[in-house]
Amino acid sequence: MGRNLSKNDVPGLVLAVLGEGSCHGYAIAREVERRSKDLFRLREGSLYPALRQLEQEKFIVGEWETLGGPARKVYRITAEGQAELARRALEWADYSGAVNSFLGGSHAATN
Amino acid sequence: MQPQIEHYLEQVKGQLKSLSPQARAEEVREMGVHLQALVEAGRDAGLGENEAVKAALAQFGSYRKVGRELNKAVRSGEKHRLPRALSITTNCMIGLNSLGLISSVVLLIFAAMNWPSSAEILGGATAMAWRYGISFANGILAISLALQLRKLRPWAFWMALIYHCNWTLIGTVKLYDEVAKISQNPSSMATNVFFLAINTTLSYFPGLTFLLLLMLNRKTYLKLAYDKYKG
Repeated sequence: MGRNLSKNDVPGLVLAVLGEGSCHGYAIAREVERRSKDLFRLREGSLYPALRQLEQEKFIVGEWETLGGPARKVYRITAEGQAELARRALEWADYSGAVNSFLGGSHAATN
Repeated sequence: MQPQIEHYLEQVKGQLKSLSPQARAEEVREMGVHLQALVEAGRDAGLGENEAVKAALAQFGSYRKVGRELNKAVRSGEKHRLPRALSITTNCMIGLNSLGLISSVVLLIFAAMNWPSSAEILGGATAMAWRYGISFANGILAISLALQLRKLRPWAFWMALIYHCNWTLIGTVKLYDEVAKISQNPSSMATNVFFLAINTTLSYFPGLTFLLLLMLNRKTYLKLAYDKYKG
């Protein structure tokens, strides 16, 4: 059963997807679902505000492209976006490490 | 494009008040492409046309929520890129001029009530320092704002001119004040309060009008700030 993502989590996941390569909105949403094995359900309504926010912060740039179909806006991550992604990944590693030390089972607690 | 999708996009477009018409059209165009892709995916999964459209729209959610979130995202970006110095200058002007306008209203009430004794209070050292200080600070802030935003320079010129005229008026008020003190004439005292009211109104009114216009035309103001920021 899929879970709807909190809107605060969406920008980080979008950055992570774009960190792997340029994508348009539809592909970003499907990639989030695919990589989470359908656990995360990214509502399109929260995707575009996140894209706009990341664009405003210059973490991503979007350009209209026509590649043998209808024109689509394709997003790519910028150098600032890569730095932000690295920062978020580090922050998440610290946070999840701390939570794991409580919820990761008795081994985590004794180690 | 299906009429339900067109209708939905029109509704979203109507919500995007903080975006320029071009950005609004682009936003809706992008969503349209996305919705079409969702409909196609629905059809590929074996849904009928209507079901596929309904599922695609449900995936986007309420147009109000989408519009609200997009407006918020755009506004937060505008705040992010607004130069700090500009924001400080504007906030100082708003605070100073709002206080000033309140005091000028009080003075006008005094003048209307023909309350000469108020001149003694208003002519005191603190009140005088406040009046001179505000007028001076307003001029400095106007110049600072104009230096930050080249397109505001004509405005700053008129504001500086009004503030200069006001300094002349302050001199006149002081003269009247002295005359009133010597003659102990109540009608001169009332005239003095009236002049003080004009003086204070002139001190704050141009600045406040200027800021009000900036607020009403926020998009232009932010664009000017953004252009300046981009260099």
